Amino acid sequence: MKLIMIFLLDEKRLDDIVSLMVEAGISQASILPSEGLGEYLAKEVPIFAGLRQLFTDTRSRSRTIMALAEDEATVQNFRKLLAIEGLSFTAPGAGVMITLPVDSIQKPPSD
Amino acid sequence: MKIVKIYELLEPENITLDIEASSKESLVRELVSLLGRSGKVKDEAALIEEAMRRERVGTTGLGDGIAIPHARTDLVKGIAVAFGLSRRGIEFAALDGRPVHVVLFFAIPAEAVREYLMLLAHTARLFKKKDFVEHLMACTSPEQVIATFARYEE
Repeated sequence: MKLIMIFLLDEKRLDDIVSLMVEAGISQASILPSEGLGEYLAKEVPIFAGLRQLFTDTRSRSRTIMALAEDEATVQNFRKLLAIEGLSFTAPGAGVMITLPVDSIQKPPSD
Repeated sequence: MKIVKIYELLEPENITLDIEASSKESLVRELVSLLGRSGKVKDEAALIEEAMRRERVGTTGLGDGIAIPHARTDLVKGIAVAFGLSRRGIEFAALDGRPVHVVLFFAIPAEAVREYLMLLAHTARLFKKKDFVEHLMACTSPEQVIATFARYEE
């Protein structure tokens, strides 16, 4: 089993990305509102206020997606679909996607 | 898990290029009748009712002339898919209020939740491609329909 984590900077891509996840066979995921470190520091920690000019007045709406993929083949399905739809994470400003092996999991058998 | 491909499921006998129906329910009836030819449907009347029940939850008329009526039910043996084109369009209560010209109907066993979600996501993505829909509308045979799906799904 694999854990996919996506730090999505552009919320407009969220619907497409989660749809591709489902299409790839990933049906367990959590989607969290999130904020990048730089933006948090600039707006919440006074000593870093000089960074504020880098950010707009309104909070950005980045998201963090945590998803469980059954196996590496499912991850590959997802990567392939991202590439087909031009949503790969290699473009500047898109965000970051990482995958991690899951060495232990506890959940109901039917999930 | 393998990504479900429509072209691998479609059979020429489950495709019509000239839908006769003029309403949502008659359309569903016509497509279920096409599915019945493949022997995958256990009870056509009950499947029509299941699909119409799903429509009452929310329309599957996605807009831009596309509809994907479907049912998750044990009334079918395996995934069953039918396809139809209507040149004149069918009133379907679509999201954009416009008539429907391209219809993909599918039914999938109730326990196949993941495959159901995969198929829905897959078809919704396919039908977002305007050139794909234009190519489907230009098909003149069921075999061309299957080949068009194959071209965009491979």
